[in-house]
Amino acid sequence: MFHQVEFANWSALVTVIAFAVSFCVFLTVVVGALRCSNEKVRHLAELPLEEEKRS
Amino acid sequence: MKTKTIEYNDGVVRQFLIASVFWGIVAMLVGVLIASQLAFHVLNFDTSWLTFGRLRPLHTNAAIFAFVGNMIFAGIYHSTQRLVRARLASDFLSQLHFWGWQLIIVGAAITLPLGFTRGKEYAELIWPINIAVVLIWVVFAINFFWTLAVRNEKSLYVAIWFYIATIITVAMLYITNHLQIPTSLLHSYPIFGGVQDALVQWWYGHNAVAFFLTTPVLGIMYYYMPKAAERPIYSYRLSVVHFWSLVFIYIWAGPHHLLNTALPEWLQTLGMIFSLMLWAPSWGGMLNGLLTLRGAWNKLRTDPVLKFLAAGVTFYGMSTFEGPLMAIRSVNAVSHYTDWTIGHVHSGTLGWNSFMAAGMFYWLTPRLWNTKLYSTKLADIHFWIGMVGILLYIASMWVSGITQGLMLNAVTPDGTLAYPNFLEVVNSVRPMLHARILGGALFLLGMILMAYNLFRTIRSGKPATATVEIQVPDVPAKEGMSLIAGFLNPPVVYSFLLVLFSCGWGFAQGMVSAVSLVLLVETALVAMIHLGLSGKKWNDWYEKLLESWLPFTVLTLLAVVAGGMIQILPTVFVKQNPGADAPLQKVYTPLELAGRDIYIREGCYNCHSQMIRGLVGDVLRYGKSGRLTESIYDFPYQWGSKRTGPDIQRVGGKYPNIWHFQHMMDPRSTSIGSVMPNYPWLYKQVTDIPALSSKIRVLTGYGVPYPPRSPDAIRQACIEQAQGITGDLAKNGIKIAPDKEIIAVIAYLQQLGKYDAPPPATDPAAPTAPKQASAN
Repeated sequence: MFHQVEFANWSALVTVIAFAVSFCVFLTVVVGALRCSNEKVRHLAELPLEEEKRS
Repeated sequence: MKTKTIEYNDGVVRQFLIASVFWGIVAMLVGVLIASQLAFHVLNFDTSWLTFGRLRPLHTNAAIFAFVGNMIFAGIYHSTQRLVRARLASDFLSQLHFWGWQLIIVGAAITLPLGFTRGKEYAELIWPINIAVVLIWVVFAINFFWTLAVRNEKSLYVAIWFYIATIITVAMLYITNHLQIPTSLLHSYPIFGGVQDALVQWWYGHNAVAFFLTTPVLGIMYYYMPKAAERPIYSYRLSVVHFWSLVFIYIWAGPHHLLNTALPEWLQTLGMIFSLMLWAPSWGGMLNGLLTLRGAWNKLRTDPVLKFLAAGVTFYGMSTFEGPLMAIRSVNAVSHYTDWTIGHVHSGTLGWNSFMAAGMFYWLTPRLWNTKLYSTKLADIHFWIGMVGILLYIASMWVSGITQGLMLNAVTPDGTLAYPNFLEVVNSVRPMLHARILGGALFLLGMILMAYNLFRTIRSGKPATATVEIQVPDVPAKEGMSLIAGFLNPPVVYSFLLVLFSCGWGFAQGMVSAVSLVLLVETALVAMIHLGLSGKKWNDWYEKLLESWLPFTVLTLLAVVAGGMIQILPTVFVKQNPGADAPLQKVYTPLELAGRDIYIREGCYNCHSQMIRGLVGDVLRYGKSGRLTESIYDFPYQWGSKRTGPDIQRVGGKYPNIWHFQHMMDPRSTSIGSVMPNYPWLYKQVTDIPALSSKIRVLTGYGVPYPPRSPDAIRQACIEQAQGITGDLAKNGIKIAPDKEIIAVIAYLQQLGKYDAPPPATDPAAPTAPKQASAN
């Protein structure tokens, strides 16, 4: 059926598929992050605060 | 478990920091000079390498790649080592990265004023330097990812994610926008032309702001803000949402630079919508940064580091509010091509980038040299001078830009232009141009104070060796997850199936659509049941992902490639179907092509657009709005982004040759009050005719329908056309040799807006424009 599709529709098709793929990644990782354990989140959040020795 | 001592490589961090301060002052010094040139044309000194058109690219490239570039490399190398508890993987690659980058900057500082340019904003550097940039970027990427591979901290902090996104996306953008074929050692033509080039350029230009000036600096914010405030980031989960939504949305917003132009409407709408969506993640990030200071606001009074960081993040919020606002089509009709855009860009680079850089430098320098900051008071003075400078700069550009936009679009009740003389608009904003110079100079003064303060700090200490003791397992732990495992797991598989069936339902017809809908619902139900039964495993997958840089990087790449593809691929096809009534651009004659390359060399595109928008003001002032097919032979495109002077898309034939001759020699002789520089060297230098053979050969390869011609025939064609122009000038008492560059420039300008009549639209199926490929 795609041979009947006008150029503008092809553009829309590519747009929607690209959006969907991108949105799929977004949803997956954001939902994953929100379900991440509190211990893990606390550990990550405190990573920059570690001190070092200077000489 | 055994104890291991890590000694960080801070030598390269110190080098990048010093380089950033030095190049920052150079960039802003050039900025103040070119701002002064716009107000006082005599400051162009009638000297080719000092004119605005050649120095403006030097200013932008120095600010972006030299100042901010060196700053982000310093921040990334310093923070990454601490966050992954590992020394940079290779001292050699670190040094190669530093010296290679400085060599590139020096190359740019020499070539740009000499007029060696590709004619595309923020992508002006010539092809040999482009190759060097790619090679050094690869060195940076290897050094960075190698360090991740040998790290001693399993989990990847959010700052590292922003760095990963920066490295892969900048590589993708830079390579795509710099695809070109050389015509000589110092010149090339991009493989994209016309609308394709415009779109690729602004996909790159917009995302250079996103992924070179924003994401790495956000990573720096997520590391140095908690460090300086001595408390963790306000919400780590919010930072995750901030990262993914920014990466997901930003890459789509490029077309907002081409609103109201000949760009296909759907792309304009796409760019506008995604720009508006950017409001949410940008402000989420800003609030996350500012709220990190909760309970520590009192420190803002005394700590210059926090002052700069808090103000920097606030400017991030301001400019990311203003950006989407300007991407609304009706607002853009006023703001585009005006000083408003310049003000917006500077609220980002001065307010966000420079203040974040200053905060980071004031925090880093005492620690890197194991001493105390020379003067907190001087840093405070820097802050307030810089703040007043930025505000003066931005406010003057707002007033100037909005004035320009309103005056240029103003129409009287009887349907004519309220301000038909462009110079009336130019001269009405002069006071604002003077205020801009003052604002820029104040900011530069602040930078010089910082350089002095840091210099005295460095002198009072000596390079420090930073170490950390860590506990490592006897047997090195494996990477959390393989690349395949990163994708073959329930969350990703279910998401993919849901997307697939959604597309099938939406785009297919009949039975296929119905079956897709059933499968969509069924998959959603199965996914929910699966999540309820084994949700813990799903969580494990994500926690492992946070420890696995390779699948993480591939997912990020997937998100940005998807957004990029959509903008690039459809426009590859758009020229093949321009419509039955589309006027076709005339192919440039060899002399006109030579004139066009001189136009690009002089950076005329920095002040003149060649795209009449479909707005009443534009059409009344410049003529019919521009069509896609009127720039199909423009490699590179020259639509421009700023109108310090008027649009010249249809200037051909508007004025006689003598007018152009006198105007380029002294613009004020024909246009009283003009701020354009004089171009006296064009009347002495000889047009490079021998170079045309290889240029035409490359363009023919792109599909421009040039007839086969020998170098002698090309020369002869140039001489004949030039003699026509010199003969016309002679009638007005002007004698000049036909081989001078001004003649080629006049030939080019007189051709602008000329096109072949559209073919008869008898057969809608018949091709109306040559396919680029078929013209080979």
